[in-house]
Amino acid sequence: MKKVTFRNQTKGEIDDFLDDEGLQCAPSQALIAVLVGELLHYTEEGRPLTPSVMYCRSIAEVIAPFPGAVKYEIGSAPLSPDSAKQILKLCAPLASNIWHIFIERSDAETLKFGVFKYPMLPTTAPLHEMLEITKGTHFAMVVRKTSASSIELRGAGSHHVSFLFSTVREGTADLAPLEKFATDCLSGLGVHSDGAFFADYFKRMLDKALTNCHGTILLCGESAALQAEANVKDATWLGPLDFWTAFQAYRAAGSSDSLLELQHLEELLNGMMNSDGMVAFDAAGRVLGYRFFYSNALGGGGIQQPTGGARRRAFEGVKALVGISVRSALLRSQDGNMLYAGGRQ
Amino acid sequence: MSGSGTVTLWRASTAIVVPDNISDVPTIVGAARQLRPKEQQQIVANMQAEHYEMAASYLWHKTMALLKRRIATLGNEFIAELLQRPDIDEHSDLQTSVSDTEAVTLARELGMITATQALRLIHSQEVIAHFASVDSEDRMDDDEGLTREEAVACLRVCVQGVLGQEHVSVAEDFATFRRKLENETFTEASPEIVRLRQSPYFFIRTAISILLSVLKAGKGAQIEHVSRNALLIIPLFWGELKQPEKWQIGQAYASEFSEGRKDSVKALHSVLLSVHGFDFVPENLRSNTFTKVATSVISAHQAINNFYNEPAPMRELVSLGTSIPGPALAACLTAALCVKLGNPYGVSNAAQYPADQLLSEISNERWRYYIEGRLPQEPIILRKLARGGAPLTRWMSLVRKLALQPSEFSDKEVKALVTATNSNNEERVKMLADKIMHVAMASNGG
Repeated sequence: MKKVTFRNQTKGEIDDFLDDEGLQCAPSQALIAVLVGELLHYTEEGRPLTPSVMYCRSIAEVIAPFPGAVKYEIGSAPLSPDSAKQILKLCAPLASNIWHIFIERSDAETLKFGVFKYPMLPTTAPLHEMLEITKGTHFAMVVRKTSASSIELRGAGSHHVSFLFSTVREGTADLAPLEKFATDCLSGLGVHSDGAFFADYFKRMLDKALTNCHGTILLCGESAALQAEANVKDATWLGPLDFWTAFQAYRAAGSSDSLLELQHLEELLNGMMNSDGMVAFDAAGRVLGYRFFYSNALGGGGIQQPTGGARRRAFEGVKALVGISVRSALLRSQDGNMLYAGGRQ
Repeated sequence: MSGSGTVTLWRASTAIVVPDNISDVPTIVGAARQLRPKEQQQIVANMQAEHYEMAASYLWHKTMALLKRRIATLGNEFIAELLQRPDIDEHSDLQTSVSDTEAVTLARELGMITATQALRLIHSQEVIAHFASVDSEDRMDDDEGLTREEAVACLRVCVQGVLGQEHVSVAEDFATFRRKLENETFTEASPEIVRLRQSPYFFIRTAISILLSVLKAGKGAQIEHVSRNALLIIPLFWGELKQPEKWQIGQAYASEFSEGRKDSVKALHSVLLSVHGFDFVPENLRSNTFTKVATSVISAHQAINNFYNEPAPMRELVSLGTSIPGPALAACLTAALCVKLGNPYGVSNAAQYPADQLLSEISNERWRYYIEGRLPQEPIILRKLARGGAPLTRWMSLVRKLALQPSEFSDKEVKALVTATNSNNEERVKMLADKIMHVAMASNGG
């Protein structure tokens, strides 16, 4: 029986990536290849975990430019592909949104590993973006899961490769659709001195929420238009969740209360994106509601819950509403692909 | 390398608006181009009616309002950097955020007024604030008020320095220097860098403030030029920079990092890497809170009713905790010293206890950091010492108890100041403080 695997292709790409980043090390290449495979569906006691892993020559040097960074070394292991599973076993349960795993290639034969974190405020860029500030100074790379079927490698030398483990033909999770959608969601805010900061925050927040969900559709539109739209049913309308006001309050006060308020909104949004149905935003950075269902997904009557392949059909249906009752829509598939429908083509 | 203090990059105009020997009120007021005729008439009328306090207060208010308006044209980000006030941002109203003393000090440092004008303005401010604070319960005779001589002196210096100027603006050379820093990439051989190497410390400090403020607020090509200039200038002068300035750079990095501004973070990262300066990057931005409250103590100290208004912010400062972050240490110590040294009229009794609490936690190492690194650039405290009287006596008592060793200071003048303090030589401390204060801004004439 013939077996088709992606092993050789994956290892080849990893080898090229490491070479571009300035590390020629066959055991490292093998270790990273195992990590890529393990992170794709890593679970612990049945619970899916999605830690980010930093691989570097010196964790102390890497985190020196990260103000307030803290690290805890947990153990050491031989530099071998077999160590990947041991490291994940010990560290993955500790690594959440805030903590990351580090694997330090201490020398040609030894790894040290543990967890680290640095203070992340709403405006602070995430690890995989901030890594580039150390470009040219030392070797470091991040391995992280970006969707249900894709793993991204990003290096301090600005090199970047994504592995998409899917038979879907579309390209990898390009951020351009998300940026267009986010811009639509902020188009009603006008000029404000905090505007640029909020735009960056909003995009990152959406990116993170989408990465952590199983796939969803986001809508941008006016509340009245969406309420009147006959093809969008059974929505659960909210307050709305006003991210812009909460962000401004945080920028003005900088207090723990205002920070918590923002984080609570993010948690709620994460929950909405992991629910059935679509999530709706307006053009002022606010979430209007969730569990919006497109009622004409199969071309006939009845309410269809957009899951799996039906999500794509629902998106096709929603596209017809763009420019009428919906400003734009964003599909994030389970594979991590994103499609945008709206005025910003 | 530099700092020989032989080159002045910019200086205030010494054109005479009103000579010092003129005491005729209408003549002086007539030279106040920035006052409307009606305002001039009101001031003359009040002076002739011997309503000196009223006239002086009004005049002072107009002078400060105009000065702060002109300073605001430089941009809030730059002012915040120069004052090392992270609480000032683009939304701040400089009329209220910047104290009168800060405005006068800035004006002097940027070549808007001369050093002598600055000295006289501060003296006038103290006198006016004192008499404005007096209420009916104070033991002061009715005829013990602002004298004509004091009022005329105030009037004359306000007109000479600010109200009599056609254009109240920074020295043209400063504006040119700043523009070049923002829009051109220098090399070590550039004339501006050569001159900067020969300039007093203040000019280097200002250049760094300009660089940091543009990195925080600039975009596009401006950031590119400033990034390259920062990578040239900061390492060039790093060895001479005092600790407060090193902390200022580290603080800017931490602030930009938390804001997610990758371009400026990359630039500052390169700078700090080249000077091994990451020790000066604070772990968090707690220092902003300390600096903000310390500033409110200093503002209360310099405003009217200071004895009544100092205790609350001083207590708040102590409530933030005894572990003062590095970037905020200088501001906190200046605040506590303002309260402890007081002014010629006394101290705020209710603020003494919290000030003592704060100072009791300051190690001798931190005192050395402050006296060597910050005090020579701190006109508020230096001025108190240079003028003598009760604040100087309080300084002697306070600092002698610390038993600081002069041998642990490397700066010659600071070492002499500590020696004179330890030996209870008030006249020598007064002379040295005056010298240090004038050396710090040797460029301005007058």
